[in-house]
Amino acid sequence: MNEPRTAGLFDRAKFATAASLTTGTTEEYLRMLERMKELGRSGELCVHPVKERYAPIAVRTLSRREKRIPTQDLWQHKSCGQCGHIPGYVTALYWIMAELGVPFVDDTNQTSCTSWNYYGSGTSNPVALSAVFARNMHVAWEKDAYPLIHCGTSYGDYKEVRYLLVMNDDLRGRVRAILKKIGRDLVVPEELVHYSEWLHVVRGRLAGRRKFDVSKIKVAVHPACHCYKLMSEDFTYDDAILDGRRPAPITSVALALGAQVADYSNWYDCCGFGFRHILTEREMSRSFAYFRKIQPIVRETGADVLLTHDTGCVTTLDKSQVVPLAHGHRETVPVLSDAQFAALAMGAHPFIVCQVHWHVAEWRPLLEKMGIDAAQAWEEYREYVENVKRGMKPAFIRSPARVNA
Amino acid sequence: MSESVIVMGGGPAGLRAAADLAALGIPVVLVERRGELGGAPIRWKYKTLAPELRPTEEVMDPLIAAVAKHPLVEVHLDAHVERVSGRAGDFRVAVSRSGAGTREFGARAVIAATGFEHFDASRDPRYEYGRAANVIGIHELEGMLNTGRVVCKDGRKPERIAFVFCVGSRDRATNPWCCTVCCGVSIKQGIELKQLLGDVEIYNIYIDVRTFGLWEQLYWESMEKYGINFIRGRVSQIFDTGKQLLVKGEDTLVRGPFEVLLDMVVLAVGITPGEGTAQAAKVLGLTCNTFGFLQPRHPNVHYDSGKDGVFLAGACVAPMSIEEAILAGSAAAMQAAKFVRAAALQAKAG
Amino acid sequence: MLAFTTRAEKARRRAGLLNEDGWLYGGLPGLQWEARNARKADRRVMLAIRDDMERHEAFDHYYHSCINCGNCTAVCPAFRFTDFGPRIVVQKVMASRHEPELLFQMVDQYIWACFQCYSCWDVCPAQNNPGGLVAIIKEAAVRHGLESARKTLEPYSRILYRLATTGTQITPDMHSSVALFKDWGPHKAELAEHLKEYRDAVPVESLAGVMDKSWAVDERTVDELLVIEKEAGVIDMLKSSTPGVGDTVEEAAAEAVARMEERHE
Repeated sequence: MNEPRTAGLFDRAKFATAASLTTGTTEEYLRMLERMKELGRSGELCVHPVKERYAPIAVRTLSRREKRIPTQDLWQHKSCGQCGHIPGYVTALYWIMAELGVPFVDDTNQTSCTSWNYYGSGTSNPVALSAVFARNMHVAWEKDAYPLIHCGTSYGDYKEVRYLLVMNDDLRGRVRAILKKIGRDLVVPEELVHYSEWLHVVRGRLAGRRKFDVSKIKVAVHPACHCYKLMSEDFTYDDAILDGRRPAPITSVALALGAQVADYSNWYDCCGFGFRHILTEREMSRSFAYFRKIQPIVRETGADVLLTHDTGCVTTLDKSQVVPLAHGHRETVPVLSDAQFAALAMGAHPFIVCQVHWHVAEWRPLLEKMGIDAAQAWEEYREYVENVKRGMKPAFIRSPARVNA
Repeated sequence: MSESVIVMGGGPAGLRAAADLAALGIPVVLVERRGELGGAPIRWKYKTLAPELRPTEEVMDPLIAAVAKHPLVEVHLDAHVERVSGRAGDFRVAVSRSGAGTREFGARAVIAATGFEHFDASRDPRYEYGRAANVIGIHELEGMLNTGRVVCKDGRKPERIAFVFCVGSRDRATNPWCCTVCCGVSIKQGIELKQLLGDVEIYNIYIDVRTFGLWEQLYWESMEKYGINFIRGRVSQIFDTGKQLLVKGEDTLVRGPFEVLLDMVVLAVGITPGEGTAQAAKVLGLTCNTFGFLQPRHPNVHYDSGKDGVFLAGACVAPMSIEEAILAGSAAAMQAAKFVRAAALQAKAG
Repeated sequence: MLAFTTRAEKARRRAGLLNEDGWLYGGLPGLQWEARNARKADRRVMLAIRDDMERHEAFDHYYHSCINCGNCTAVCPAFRFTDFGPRIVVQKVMASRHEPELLFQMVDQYIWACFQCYSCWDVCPAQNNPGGLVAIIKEAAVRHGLESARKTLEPYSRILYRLATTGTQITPDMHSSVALFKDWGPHKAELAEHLKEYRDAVPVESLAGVMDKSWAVDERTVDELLVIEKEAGVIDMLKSSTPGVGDTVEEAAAEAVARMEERHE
């Protein structure tokens, strides 16, 4: 393989410009936010505010609107896919929060957002999606903890249904009627916050606790379509990161930890997850992920790791490499979430916490390059698993105590 | 020595030029081939103007009034310029009126504003224009819209109407240029048909949609507010079944090859240089370009004919909208006025 | 003997081939079989799907004029490997007001190619959402129990069942056998072998040892979800598209409603 070029962050001369070619939908979204505030004031809707209690930090969105990201007392809106088959993803996030002393609520009174099903099969509708959204938001409000959305698709779906709930009076009425039947009422959060935005605003604190040197690690970043293309207004942009032309999260965290971030020509391409395709149209998903993302990334950047911030993206990019490699293609790169990478750099156990053994694309060279003794860690993990088998309680990560909850 | 300016053509460009010159105190002799002032908008009874569908009268009435009522403007209808002799600053212009012989005028300068003709679609056999009932041109439709009554030849209300863009335009078999305005005009008329007829299906069959500048809003409005359909492709043939028109074409983007029965087809017949323009070229010794339009000294400066004392304005130079023609008339008037003043000073000094 | 017909008669015959909307379509190259299928379809269903689409809560938000610029197609992942193009979707939606058959040409296979990534929405100068329109049409296809929708979703029914009954979509026990995810690599087998002990050891309490759900969802929470799905008509949609799953979920929902009423007493 050719000697990979030095990581070049955002080679402006070569690659794409604006993150979003249209700001048209921005106006619509801003109007919706105004209307939401009106409805909140008139009592037609309960808006869960980003209170001082949540210690919010301000960022800017695509339209340069100020968005306040709560940083504590967070209600963890979990992702089915992560909890189902990428347990290291959510575990790493909780570990980071515990390390930083950030109180949170991990609720068993949470349903899936159900939107993977919707995008995959069409077997749902706006009323159901909105009602599920409002139900989960109601629980968070009851617990006085601010919802933090783990999955990019949940975040995207919630942006859409919040829009509909605010702007469509008829839909709102129908959803309210359904919620009444389960003893609940309509709550929408003032801001919809994706966990990678939280990671972005606390990146300084992550860097402050860094244990491993990642300055030689070359990172490629893949942002999730549903985070920044679906209702593009709402996601975090930062003038200091990529000139404010692409979403800031993930990249900002990698840079804060001291890693190098490399740009590549297909940055804006979807990963190829496809919702239904990943299960029943796998050749398409696989081909797209490999030939439009993995192969160009490896060839152009020689990255040591591909970081992303969504369940579907981690799944597709990680799992789609097996078959092409079996066919004789050579390019491969490990795929992790930004949370897992940050946790690793901060010294979290690669297997007990980050659970990297659930990932398929070869991650051993990455750990080695980071200076992590994988063999030793694996021994520790095996021992830990055996102990749990024998009746030891797992080393549960717990939220720091909530104050005045 | 006469201080006047001859203006050839009484359409928007010529009228504006005449009105401006007269306002500056310069006498004008305006020569118009037809029996009325106003040019194409009046001849074809344009109802409204793109892009905002303002009534044509709002523009044309004051323009015509400014000329018809001005003491310094001498209007000659049913007349044309037979011959021009002399030299810049001291022209002798022979004007013929049908049935009334020829008169000679002295003039310091001449403005050619001889406008355009709509393409005669009977020259293109595809469309059965002039043979099939209910195949009409946008100029004829404009007049029908003005009467408030758009019906098929047999009196019934049309339910499906198609506009065919670029008839006699962008076609080496007929005219290889773009007439600039007929996309916007066709879309405008489609909207007016929706307003007039209510429940009617309109199809715009186009190659490109060239709603230039601020006319673009018509394009989006036609789809969003009025549900007008756009089909990208060309019509290969129109066949008259006797009752309806069988229109055949290829939708290059969505439907593939198609055939459909329609009640009426409106051809967006393009802008061509007319007889008046050919005459102006002849009598003024001007060059026409390969397309037959008057060729200015520089393609980007329309009013300068390259001949001293002779100025050009409007659609005789290139296809354009009414607003552009009015601007062109004013520009030519300014140049003519400068020339006239300079010539007057020279005459005094000399 | 040669049959000799006049031009007029030929045209009248050809006019007889025109469909109910008065059109004869050739279909774009590669998609002509969809055009043929649509021509043979049940017109009432065709019109019902068209009406469903136009009445959908998000339709006006997703659909505006289209100037065929092709921005959407340029960023579409499905277009790289199939004939699917978001521009065609918007164009056919636009035309379907007068020509519902054009919309119907897409419902069997075309729409199911979409990845629902919404890259198209991001770049459209008219703010159309072709992916969103596809989602709306998918809903309609499911609601009307189209054969093609059923076939397409059959392999997906496991997920639907899981979601409807556990409140979560991907569960650990789906990975306990290699069969479903063989193409995710040889080490899936190893994971499958150790799945239970690995899950038992996950250091998050709501996940540890939970095999049949993504996390330990309260029973009451699942009940609330089932009530929502019943009231919002999702169970009816399930019954249309995957009858086996639909019936089971309907039963589960009935039980949930009963429990909910008990709790309120």
